[in-house]
Amino acid sequence: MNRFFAKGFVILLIIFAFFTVASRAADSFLVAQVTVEQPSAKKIEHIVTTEGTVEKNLEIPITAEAGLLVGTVYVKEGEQVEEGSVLAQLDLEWLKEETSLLEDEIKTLRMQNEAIAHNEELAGEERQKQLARAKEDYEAAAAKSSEATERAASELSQAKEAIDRFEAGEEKNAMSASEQEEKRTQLWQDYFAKQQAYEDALSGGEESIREAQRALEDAGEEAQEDASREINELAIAQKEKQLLAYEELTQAGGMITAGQAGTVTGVFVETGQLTAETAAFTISSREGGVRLGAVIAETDAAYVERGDTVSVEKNGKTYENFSVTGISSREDGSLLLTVSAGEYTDALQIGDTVTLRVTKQSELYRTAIPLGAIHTEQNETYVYVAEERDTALGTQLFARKVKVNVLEKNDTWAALEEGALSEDDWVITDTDSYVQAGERVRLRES
Amino acid sequence: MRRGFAVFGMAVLLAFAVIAAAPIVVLVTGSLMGDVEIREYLSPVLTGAKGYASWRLFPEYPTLKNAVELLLDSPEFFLMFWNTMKIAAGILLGQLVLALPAAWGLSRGNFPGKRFVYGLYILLMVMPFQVMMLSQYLVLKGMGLDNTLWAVILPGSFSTFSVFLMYRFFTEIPEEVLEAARIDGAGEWKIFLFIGVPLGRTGVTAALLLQFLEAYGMVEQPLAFLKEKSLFPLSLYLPEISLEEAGFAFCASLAALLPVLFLFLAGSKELGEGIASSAWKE
Repeated sequence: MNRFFAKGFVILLIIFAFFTVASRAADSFLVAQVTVEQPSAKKIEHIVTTEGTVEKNLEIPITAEAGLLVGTVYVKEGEQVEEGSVLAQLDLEWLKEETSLLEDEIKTLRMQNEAIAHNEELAGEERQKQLARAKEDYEAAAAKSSEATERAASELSQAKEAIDRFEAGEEKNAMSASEQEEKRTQLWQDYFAKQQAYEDALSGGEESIREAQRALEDAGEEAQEDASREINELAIAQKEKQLLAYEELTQAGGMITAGQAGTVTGVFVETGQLTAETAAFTISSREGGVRLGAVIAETDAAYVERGDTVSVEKNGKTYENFSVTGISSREDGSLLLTVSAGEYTDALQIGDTVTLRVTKQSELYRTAIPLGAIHTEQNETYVYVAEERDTALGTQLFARKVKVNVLEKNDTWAALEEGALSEDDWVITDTDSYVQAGERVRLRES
Repeated sequence: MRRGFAVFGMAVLLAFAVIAAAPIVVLVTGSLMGDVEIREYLSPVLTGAKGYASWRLFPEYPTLKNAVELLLDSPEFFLMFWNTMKIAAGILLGQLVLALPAAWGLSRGNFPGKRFVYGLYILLMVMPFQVMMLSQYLVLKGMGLDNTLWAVILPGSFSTFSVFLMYRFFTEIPEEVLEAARIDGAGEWKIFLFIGVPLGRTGVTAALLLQFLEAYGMVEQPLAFLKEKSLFPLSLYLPEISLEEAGFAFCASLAALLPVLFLFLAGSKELGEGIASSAWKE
C-alpha cells in the first residue's frame, strides 16, 4: 500500500467534508428567501385621496339698470350684509336725466307710430281708387273687344253670302268665262280679307282683356307689410319698463340694496363709473351653505362616480357621509369633483383646505393576491409560485412562472382571472433577491 | 533491426497511451473552460450543428468558475459523494465480515460439498445483475429495505467476486505453515486471523480495492432500488447535469475521479497482483 497516496485519499476526504459544509452554507446564503401567500377571495378596495377646498354653494347676482352713474359704493368683497342693506347709491341727477331722455324717446317712438298709421290709411284709399279704375278699364276693354269681333263676323258673313249669290245668280250667266273667273277671284279675295280681319279682331280683343285683367289684379294686391310699428311698440314697452325701473330707483333715492343676507363675494361697480349690463354685486347666500371642490387625477377617474360617499378630514378630525354631487372634465384630463357638504355646513368655512377620501369596493374576486407578487415584462404579466420538488437535498422549493391576467388592482392587492392559480398555490409575494423561473427559493426566516 | 522493432513498438504503445489518456485530458481542460468555449468546440455534439467537434489542449480562456461552482454552489454533489462513500464503506465492511471468512473456509476448510459450494459461488459471480434484480428487489421490499442505502449495501456485501479473489490467495499459503501453527497450539480462528489474513493480505487488499471501485461506479443497483434523490450515489448525479453545463459536468467528473485515482495509486501494487493472480491462476 502506497502510504503517500493513501494519505492523499484521506486528505481528499477531509477537503470534501469541508466543502460539503461550505457549499451548504453558501447555498443557504445565495438562495433567495421569499415570502409566500395563498390566493384568497377578496374585494379590491380603491381609495382616492385628494386635497379639496371649501367653496360657497350659492351665489346671487345683484343687478342695476345699465348706463347709470354710480354715486357711492358702500360695500367691499367679503363684507357681511343683511337683507335690504344698501350696497351702492346712484347719482340722482344722472338718473333724472336718463329718465327724461327715456321719456323723450318713448314720446318720439309714439309719434313715429302715429305717422306710420296715418300713412298707411292714405295708401289704402289710393289702392282702392286704382282698383276701381282697373275694373272699369277691364270692363271697357271687354265690351270693345266684343263689338269689334261681332262686326268682323258680320262682314265675313256678308262676303260669304256675296260668293253664294254670285254662284247661284243670273249675273254669272251673263258673263264670259274669263269674267266669271275674275269676279270669283275678287269675291274670294274679299272673303279671305274679311276672315283675316275677324281673326285679328278676336286676338286683339283677347290681348286687351288680358292686359286689363292684369292691371286689375295688380291694383287688388295688398300693400307690402311694414313691421316698423310693431318694432316701435316693442321698443316703447321696453323703454317703459326701463322707465318704471328708473322711477322706482328714483323713489328709492337711487339706492341698490341686497336682496338676501350673506357675504359680498364680488363688487363690479366703481364710484364715478356707469353701471353695466352684468351684475353689479354678487352675494353668497347663507342659506345656500358650502360645498367642497377638488381635483382628481385622470387615473383615478374610474373609481369615483356621482353619488359616491366621501369622508373629509379637517385638522385631524374626520367627517363622514359626504356625497359626490358633480364630476366634470378639465382640459388636462383631470376631473373636477363637487362634493356636497351636507350636514357639516357649520363645521366647514369657505376657503378651508380639507382632505377628501373616496372609498370604493369592487365585486368579490375569487383569486386575489398581494400586488407585490405581480411582475410585468414585455406586455406579459406573471407571478412566481413556490412549488415543492424532490431533489438530492430533499424536498425543496422552486420558483415556477405562471402567466396571469389582472382584472383589477389597487395599491396593495390585485384580482386575477380565475384558472391560472388555485387556492393551494403558494404565490411568492416578496423576495430578498432576484428570482427567476426554475430557481430554488426558501421561505423567509421570520 | 531489433532496435527498429523496439522503436516501432514504443511508438504504437505511445499512440495507444495517448488514446487512453485522452478522456482524462478532456476532463482536465474541459474543467477549466467556460461554457461558451466548450459549446464552440462541441456544438456538433451538443446541438447537432454541422461539422466535427474539436478540442484544445489548453483552454483559450481558462476559468475556475466551474470549480468554484462545484465546491461552493453544488451541495448535492457532496451529498451524493457521501452517499457513495457510505455505500462503498458498507459493502467493504460487509465483505470483511462475510467474504473474508467465506474465502478462508472454501480454501482451507475441509467439508462435504465444498466443491459444490465453490461452483455455486462461481455461478453467482458470472451471473449478471439483471438476472438477480427482481428476486433481490422482492426480498429487499419484503424486508422493508427498499429505498434505503441498505438495499444497495446488503447485496454488495454478499458479492462473490471478492470471495473468488481471496480464495485464490488463501490457497497459496503453504499447508506446512498452518500445520506448524496447529502444532504450536493455535486454534482455527487464530490461524485464520493471525496466519491466514496477514499472509493473504495482498489478495484481501486487492479484493477490497476492486470492490470499492465496483461500488463507487455502481449505477444499476441504486437506480433499481433507490427512489429518493437524496439517497442517490454520485454515479447518478453526473447524468443529471444538462449539456448546457458541460464545463461543470467535466469538473464534477474530474472531482469524482480524484478519490478513486488516489485509492488506485495507493493500492496499485496489490491491485496489479490481485488481477494477475485471478488471471493466471484461473
